[in-house]
Amino acid sequence: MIVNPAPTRTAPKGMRIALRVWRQANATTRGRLVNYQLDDVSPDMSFLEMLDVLNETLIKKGEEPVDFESDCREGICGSCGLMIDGRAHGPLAGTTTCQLHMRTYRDGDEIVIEPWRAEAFPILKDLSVDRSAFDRIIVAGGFVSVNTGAAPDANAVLVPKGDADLAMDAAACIACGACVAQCKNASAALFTGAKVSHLSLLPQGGPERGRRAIRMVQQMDAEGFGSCSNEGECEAVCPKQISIGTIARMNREFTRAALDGAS
Amino acid sequence: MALESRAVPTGRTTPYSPRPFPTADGAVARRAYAVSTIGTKVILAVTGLALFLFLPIHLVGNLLLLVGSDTFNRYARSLESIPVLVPVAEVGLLALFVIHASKAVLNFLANRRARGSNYAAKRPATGGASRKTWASASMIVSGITIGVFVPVHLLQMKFGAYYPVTLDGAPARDLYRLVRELFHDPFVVAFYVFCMVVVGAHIYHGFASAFQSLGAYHPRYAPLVLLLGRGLGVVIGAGFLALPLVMYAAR
Ligand code: HEM
Ligand code: FES
Repeated sequence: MIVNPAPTRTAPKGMRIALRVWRQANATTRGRLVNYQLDDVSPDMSFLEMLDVLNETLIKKGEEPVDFESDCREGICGSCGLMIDGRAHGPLAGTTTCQLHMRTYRDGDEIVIEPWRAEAFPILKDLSVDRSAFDRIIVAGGFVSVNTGAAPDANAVLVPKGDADLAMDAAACIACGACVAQCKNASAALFTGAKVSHLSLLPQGGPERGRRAIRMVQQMDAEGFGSCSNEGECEAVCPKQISIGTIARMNREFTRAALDGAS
Repeated sequence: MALESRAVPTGRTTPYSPRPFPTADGAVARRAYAVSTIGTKVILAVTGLALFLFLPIHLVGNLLLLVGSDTFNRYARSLESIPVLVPVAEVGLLALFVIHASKAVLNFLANRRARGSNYAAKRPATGGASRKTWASASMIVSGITIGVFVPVHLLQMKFGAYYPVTLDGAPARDLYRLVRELFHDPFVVAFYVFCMVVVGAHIYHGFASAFQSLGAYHPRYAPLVLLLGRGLGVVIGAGFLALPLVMYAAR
């Protein structure tokens, strides 16, 4: 973990921050970086609150506000996701964009803000991208079948503690897309690996195990994500610090299923 | 995000259509595996590791150059005298080389397409989990350099001048003299030194990367495999690189 530098505020006024923000009207037009200057940024603001302030000033001036996504603003939903100075979710490890605070920056800093860039994540507007490719990977196999009817006994299916822990670690994925954004190949291997691992480790969903691996990987490929070069940049920027061990597990699951002839 | 696919005007967003792995036909299934992102990396890993295995053997043999002319020539002749070994190894290495290189280039191009537009600013991650190095970032460059080096190297050595010599009363090829004469030229020495740094760099990332591609990951041993691969890259690179330097110095 990076230790946040202490705020270096001497004057009562807030920080002056120069922003270079990617502006793009819609999916089909060309975008560009636009410069903005904020003169009173509180170190206590979150990064997104800083953008809210920017948008208020833009709206007051009659300009189009910067489009960006957020929902929970507490690091659990995965909606927010910005490329901040060339790093997914900014400079801090294990942190979503919404959990990044302006105290990380110093008076006079310049910050470049771009959207996730991947062929499979088309830019919708400004900093918002369409991540529905992830949804389609889930639809392709990221589920387990259960019998409906009477509730089963809670402890009827035993799960080894080690497997439960590994599955839980993988299940922490919030599908924010930082792994894709940071990867030089725009690979979705960490996302898909986390989902495949999460479900393949548990006895529930066992019947779909091989088919799941095949279909999720094929959907991932069909969406146009790249392959994994094992640089581990994804794990390093993942706000949930999901291990590239999940990618290795997916590779095993996929190869095994292909050998088994699953479909 | 909504679960139904939204129509977007640009981008690769294919509508959701489950593609069953076509297993009715074995050949089709094998092809589907081989062209998938994971299958591609598994093929790269298997061929890469197999190519890698040749290097320590080659290095140890070459180090006999430092022992002396007769020892090296005798070693070369005894290798040749083992029936079928050399031709089989040559065909095998050539096949591995062609598969590895062509898959690697196709994979590189597909990965470039996957990014789409480039970032205005891009930096390596700050978290400790990253294995990104100058070596990992330049695998395609080091790979293509090896792809150029190997044919040049074969033309110079295997298909180079044939100096006859009599060794232990029998005729042999004086490979020692060939190597010594080649490494008299400072440009040849510089070319070899550069290429051996590049080979070392390729292994520096490639060795551990291959284990990861093959799904061999363990939280305790993965860092050791990474370290081992980096060590092998340095040792093998340095070992090969020492030969031209030593032979040039002793000319
Ligand atoms: C002596 C020859 C060679 C050896 C020992 C070797 C070894 C390896 C190994 C072990 C890997 C790791 C595979 C993985 O990550 O799964 C690798 C990857 C790679 N090799 Fe080679 N290789 C050789 C020649 C070449 C050549 C001629 C090329 C030509 C283009 C090449 C291009 C690549 C690339 C681009 C990768 C990275 C793929 C990726 O992770 O994105 N290699 N190599
Ligand atoms: S807004 Fe929910 S994780 Fe950032």
